[in-house]
Amino acid sequence: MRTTKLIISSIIFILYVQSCKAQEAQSNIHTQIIGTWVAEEDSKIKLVFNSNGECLEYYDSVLSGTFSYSITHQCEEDLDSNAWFLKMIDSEDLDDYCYELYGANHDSNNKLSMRFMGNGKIFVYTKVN
Amino acid sequence: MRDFLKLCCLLLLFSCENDDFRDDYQQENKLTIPQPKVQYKEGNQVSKKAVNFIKMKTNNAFTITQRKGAVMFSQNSFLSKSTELGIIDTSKEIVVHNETTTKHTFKVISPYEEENAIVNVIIVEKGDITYEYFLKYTFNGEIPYNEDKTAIDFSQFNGTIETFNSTGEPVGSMTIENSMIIDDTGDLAPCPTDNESEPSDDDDNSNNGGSDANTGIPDDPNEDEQQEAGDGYYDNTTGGGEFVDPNDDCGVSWSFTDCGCGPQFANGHRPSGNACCGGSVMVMVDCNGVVQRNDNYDTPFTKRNIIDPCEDGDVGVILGDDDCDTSKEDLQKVFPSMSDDDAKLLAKLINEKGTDFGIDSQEKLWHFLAQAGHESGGFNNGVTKEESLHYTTKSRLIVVFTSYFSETDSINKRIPNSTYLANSLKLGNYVYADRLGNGNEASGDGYKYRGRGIFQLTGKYNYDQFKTWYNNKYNPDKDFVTSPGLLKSNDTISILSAMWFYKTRVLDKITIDSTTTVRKVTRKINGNALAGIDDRKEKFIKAKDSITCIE
Repeated sequence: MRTTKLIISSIIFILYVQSCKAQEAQSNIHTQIIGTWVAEEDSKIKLVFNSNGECLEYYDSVLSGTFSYSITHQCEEDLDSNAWFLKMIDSEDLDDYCYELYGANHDSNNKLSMRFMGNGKIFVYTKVN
Repeated sequence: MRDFLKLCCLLLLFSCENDDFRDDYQQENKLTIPQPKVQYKEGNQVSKKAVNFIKMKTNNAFTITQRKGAVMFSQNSFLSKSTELGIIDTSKEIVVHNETTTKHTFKVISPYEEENAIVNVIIVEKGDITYEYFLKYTFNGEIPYNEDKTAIDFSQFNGTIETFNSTGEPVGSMTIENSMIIDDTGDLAPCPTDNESEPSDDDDNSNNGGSDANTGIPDDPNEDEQQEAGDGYYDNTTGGGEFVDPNDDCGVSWSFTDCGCGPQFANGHRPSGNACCGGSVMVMVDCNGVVQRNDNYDTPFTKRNIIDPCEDGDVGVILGDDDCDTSKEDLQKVFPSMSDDDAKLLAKLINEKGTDFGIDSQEKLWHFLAQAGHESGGFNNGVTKEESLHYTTKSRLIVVFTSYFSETDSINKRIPNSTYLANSLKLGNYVYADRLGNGNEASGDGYKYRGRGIFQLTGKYNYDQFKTWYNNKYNPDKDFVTSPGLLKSNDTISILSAMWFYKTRVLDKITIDSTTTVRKVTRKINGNALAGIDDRKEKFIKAKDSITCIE
């Protein structure tokens, strides 16, 4: 009985902690990120996420970078089952870049929001197709 | 930045500029005397032939030995720690193309060299012959840099220039004060000697005769005409002749210009008779074909100063360890709106601390300035920066922090109400909790370690990393974890944090050279290679154009 109470208490505590975090990892983000996105700060910047794990970067309609991308719950030292992280690997030099994904077309809002883990800068994109 | 910097100039002081004289000569004699062409070369551009010559003469040691009163090539390794040794810096050179010679100037680096004394190695290419000599510049007092510190004003040179031939012997010396030569002896630019140059067909002749070492040409040309070649000169025409010097002077030839007053007087000749060319113009040319004199025969003449470098042309000078720092003015050329105080501080930190962060080349500095300049808005509002978490609308909070805020899902997210609107503290603690080394929301780390400094150092982990590096390098008492606000309130710390960020995010990860693109660096700094790319490129080009005094 005492053991059962302990287990129940632990479960409640875990649920409480997660509730306090009050963050939800978007369940359909893997599919919702697919498409073409234009940067809010500069409409010349465009990202195209394909379903094959490839991301193409354009500037003024000229291809400027090709990446392979993955979406996971971990980015370097940060591990959070309530968050998604976007990892992009530059095909040119295999350097990788990590972003916290805040949302991708969540509730069909046509917005992609992410934060670069290197310097904390936030980028917001608008879906164009 | 007090790195080894170049300072080059043409030694105009010793050049043969005499425009009127040259113009006349060229016009009347249709003889073209091209101006020397000067080139500054670095890295792979440095002449392989000259470097190979040094390599051969020093048995691959690239050293010189400097004993008192002697400077010459050495074959001892610089690692022998001899205080007499200096190493020849072949990473850069000045090349001067003269009429008949090409001169390569290299700087000698010596940890034991005298203060205000600089030694240059001069490699001379003259036809098939290559030889070397050494010039030692000893400055009296301050080196007279130009205002922009990119060149030395030799018209203001005060000091002594000593010449050493290839065997290390001092062969000439000149002392200059207040633009006046107050003492000179010997040769400033020696010609090759037999044991240091390849034999020439002319050597036998040139060593036999000789003009007077002091005057070069006898005073009485009529007397000269009676002599034989073995007596020091020979006169092979009635209208000219050549003097050679037993002391290896290059020698001087002379001729008379065409009179131009009728066919019978077409050929130049000595003054004689009643012809219109009774005082025909005499042209004197030294062994390199450089005009020494062009004058009416009736005018008494003596050979120009025997150490006149016109004997083999101009030579470049490379000074080292100069004060070629990035200046406040340099920075304000790139960032016109930058305040004097900010530019002065940034220049100071670049010069004094840049190398601590690996900013030790032009390319690295240009990229740093392009990135820092963009991120700070051209330093219009100072050299510090702090992340804004000031959001005023619910919709924007939901769009940006989608996974944190919702107006409908109050179970998994929070309502974007007044608690977070226009409340940077609450918002930062919430959305940045448990990231980048931050503690949970209650810890307050999210807001405490928000983005600060030019490049927006963010997260407790990064503040701690910067603190550790700074403590080890500069001051063990500074604690940016307990006092993160220093990155905003202290301009110096703000700039140094940016340099550290640049070092760890860029310089430690990729090679920066002339091929590195702004896009590549931007991605490392910013996560998005294209954000503000046009402005970053523009600032990079401005930096490249404005700041060239760093290596």
